Amino acid sequence: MALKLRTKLPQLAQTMARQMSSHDIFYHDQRELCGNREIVGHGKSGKYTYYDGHDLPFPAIRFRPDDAASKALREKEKGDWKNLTLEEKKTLYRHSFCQTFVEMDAPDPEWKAVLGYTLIGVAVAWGMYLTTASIMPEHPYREFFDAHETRVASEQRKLDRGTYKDKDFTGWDYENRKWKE
Amino acid sequence: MLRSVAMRVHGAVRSGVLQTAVRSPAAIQQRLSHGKPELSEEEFDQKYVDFFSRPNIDGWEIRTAMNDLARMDLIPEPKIIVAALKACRRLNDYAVAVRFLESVKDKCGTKANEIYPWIIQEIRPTLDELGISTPEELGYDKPELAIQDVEDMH
Repeated sequence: MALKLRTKLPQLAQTMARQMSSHDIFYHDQRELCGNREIVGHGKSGKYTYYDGHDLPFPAIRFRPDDAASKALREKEKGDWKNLTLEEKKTLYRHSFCQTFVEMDAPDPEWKAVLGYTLIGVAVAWGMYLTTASIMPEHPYREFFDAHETRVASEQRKLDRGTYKDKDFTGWDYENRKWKE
Repeated sequence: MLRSVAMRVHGAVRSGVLQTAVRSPAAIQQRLSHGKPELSEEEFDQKYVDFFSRPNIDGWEIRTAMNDLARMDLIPEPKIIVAALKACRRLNDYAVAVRFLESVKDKCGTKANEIYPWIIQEIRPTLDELGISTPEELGYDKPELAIQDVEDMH
């Protein structure tokens, strides 16, 4: 999750800066950000950024910058590919690309941490409630509020002032204060 | 018990008697979306084979075509794959060839166990001729490297 957001940050920053700025709007292709990596394609949007994804297997630049070893290997690549060792083939792949498809699909165990921190939060809140509830004195009128007589009288007052009159409560005889026969 | 027997008899009557009486005249293959298809399947395949077989194709074009294929709702035919691999050979880009095979396997989706081995079997002569290892031979059918979390980098 965090990784996905991070990969989008350059684009987000550019858009936000554009919206907040009072200067002229200009197009920034982020070319200097790619260093001396070889530019090999159009990529996602024409910008010189690396991107791994099923919808776009071939990004605009190679993943690793050119150095002496990679140049030598690229020279050897021009010959017969049967002469390449397995290790060289993998190096060539990793020179161009960061992750393989299965690595993109690999499960991210981040949800375990998220679930754990959530449960810790719930536990802390529950503990605080239990602690508070155990040391708080009872309300002085609690017993009176919960008494049967108090509650019956409360309902009787509601009936008397017609609280239920507009709610199809037809079984009550308001004149004689008792149930209809 | 009686209920299940009744259901079976009912099913037998339906399948045996009714279907012969009300059988549809013939199976008609029909494309239900509106408008004509821009290209038939053969024309589509031929278009991409021709594209990848162009002698002056460059890395930008080959990558764009492969990206397009990765986005379409289809699995490339073996002859397209063969043409693409040969184009990779002409451009001396080994990584693109392996990546394209990975992309093809990804396009097989849930049927990868059925379709992908057949595709590999079809393109095997080309793989052997050019010396291309499949992603499985390189060990890319399982995750090899883990990526470091950017939150832990600095």
